[in-house]
Amino acid sequence: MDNKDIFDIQAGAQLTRFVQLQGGKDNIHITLRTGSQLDLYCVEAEGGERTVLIDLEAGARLCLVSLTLHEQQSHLSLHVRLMGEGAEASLNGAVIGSGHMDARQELLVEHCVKGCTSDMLYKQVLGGESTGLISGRVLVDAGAQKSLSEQTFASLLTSPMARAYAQPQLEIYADDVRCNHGATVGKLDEAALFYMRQRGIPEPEACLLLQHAFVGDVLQRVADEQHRAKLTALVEQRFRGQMTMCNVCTNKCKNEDETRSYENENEDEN
Amino acid sequence: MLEIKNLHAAVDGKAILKGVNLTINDGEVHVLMGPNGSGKSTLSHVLVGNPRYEVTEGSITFNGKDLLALAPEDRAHEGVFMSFQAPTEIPGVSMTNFLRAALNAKRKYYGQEPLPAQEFLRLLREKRKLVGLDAHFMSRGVNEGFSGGERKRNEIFQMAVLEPTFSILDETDSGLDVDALRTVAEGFQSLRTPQTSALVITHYQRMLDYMRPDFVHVLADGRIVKDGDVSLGYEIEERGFEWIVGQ
Ligand SMILES: Nc1ncnc2c1ncn2[C@@H]1O[C@H](COP(=O)(O)OP(=O)(O)OP(=O)(O)O)[C@@H](O)[C@H]1O
Ligand SMILES: [Mg+2]
Repeated sequence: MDNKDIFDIQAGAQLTRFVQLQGGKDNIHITLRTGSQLDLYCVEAEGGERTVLIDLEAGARLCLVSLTLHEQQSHLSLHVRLMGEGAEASLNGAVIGSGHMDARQELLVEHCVKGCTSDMLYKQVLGGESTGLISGRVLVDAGAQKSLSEQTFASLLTSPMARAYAQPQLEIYADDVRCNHGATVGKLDEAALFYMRQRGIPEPEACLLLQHAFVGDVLQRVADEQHRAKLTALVEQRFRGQMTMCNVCTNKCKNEDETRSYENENEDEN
Repeated sequence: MLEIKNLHAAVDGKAILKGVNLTINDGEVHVLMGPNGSGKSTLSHVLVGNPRYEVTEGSITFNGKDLLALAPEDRAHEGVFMSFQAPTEIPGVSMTNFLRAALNAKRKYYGQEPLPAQEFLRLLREKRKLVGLDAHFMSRGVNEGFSGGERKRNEIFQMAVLEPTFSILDETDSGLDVDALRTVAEGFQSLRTPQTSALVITHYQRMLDYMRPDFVHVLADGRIVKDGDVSLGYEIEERGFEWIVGQ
């Protein structure tokens, strides 16, 4: 038997957590008690086998943003149970694949009671010979009336050898629900690339800007500004092929803040 | 100086340019007119190296360099700029980041350090004022949700920031309201120096008034079929193209 990490978020608590997942196996069970709130930012820095179960009681809110940045094999199985009325789960992820990365994510959101909301936004940018698989299932139990759910999956293939699989699925046993889902797969926009090159932006940099923009709305889901800046920088380093474990490490040491990010500088009004 | 010789080009296997000859000296503004579909935009795209267009014959030299041998980004660094007839939307890439990348790439090409953030922002502010572009556009995605006229204004704004020596304005006037056109044209004129030149594509007399071109050319079916001074432009406005290109 694997060890299970168990976390209990107390009623009414508000937490923001950053976790990095290294190689090996993880088995995590998180319970969000009534009215609690968890912002969970999670970086898959190495391949591995992950099983995560998250239960939400009434009025609890979860915002998960996960980044898959390794070049290995990973399998994540995430099961979210909305068990109390008014619970809300926002699940978001960006996968950046190159080399022989093979990242699989199975997401299951279960609306167990009425009046809960779930939202999935997953983006994959796949190059090299990488494979990205996202299987998202929303299960609305009988009796879970007034459920709201959204699933948006989009994949960008930057090499002819890369493979994207993204399947949103709905299984609905209640009748008064609103559920939307959509999945797209595309390539880099040639016209946009050329426009940038005409302005002098070298092709690799132009590709990078487009790829970064593609996952931008996932990063926007990170409510906390400092964490957003950090995750944005990580994504950029990953695109530039410069990411090291040092970038992911949460221990403060001297290597920090060397990177420039694509966060906007604000232009002062005169 | 730009020198186009016997230029032939095709798109998706279809021949569009069929022997274009054109010389533009420093300091000159040339207007290119011609019926819809005659190849004006094709010529523009070939000049800036759009990979969709295939050059099948001929040459282009720019300040002594073989322009056709240069990548689009290097042509830009060498001073070639095109205001697109239909500027592309790039959702999620902010104007600020886009221009910073463009400007710093050019500086790198000339062995210069990136522009310090404060100077960069000051430059944007100054150039925005020149063409009357509001600050809020800078944090929006490139052309993302911009109106037709805003996109055209944005093209000339980018030109002002990048300071090219040779600019192609492909129907920059279309889509601009009368006041916006005046602002943009004045902005363009204020950027002119004895070293800069331009190829201005237009269908309208108002643009002739503003551009005060040294030469006017007519392109028809992939060839330049008539050259003249600005009076040729006014004559076309009155009489159309038929008397030149035949039936
Ligand atoms: N991908 C393509 N395949 C086939 N023909 C094309 C393609 N792209 C452009 N053309 C054709 O090339 C010709 C020249 O087009 P171009 O855009 O250069 O004309 P233009 O002179 O700029 O016209 P306008 O005044 O309408 O802007 C047109 O007949 C157009 O239909
Ligand atoms: Mg045209």
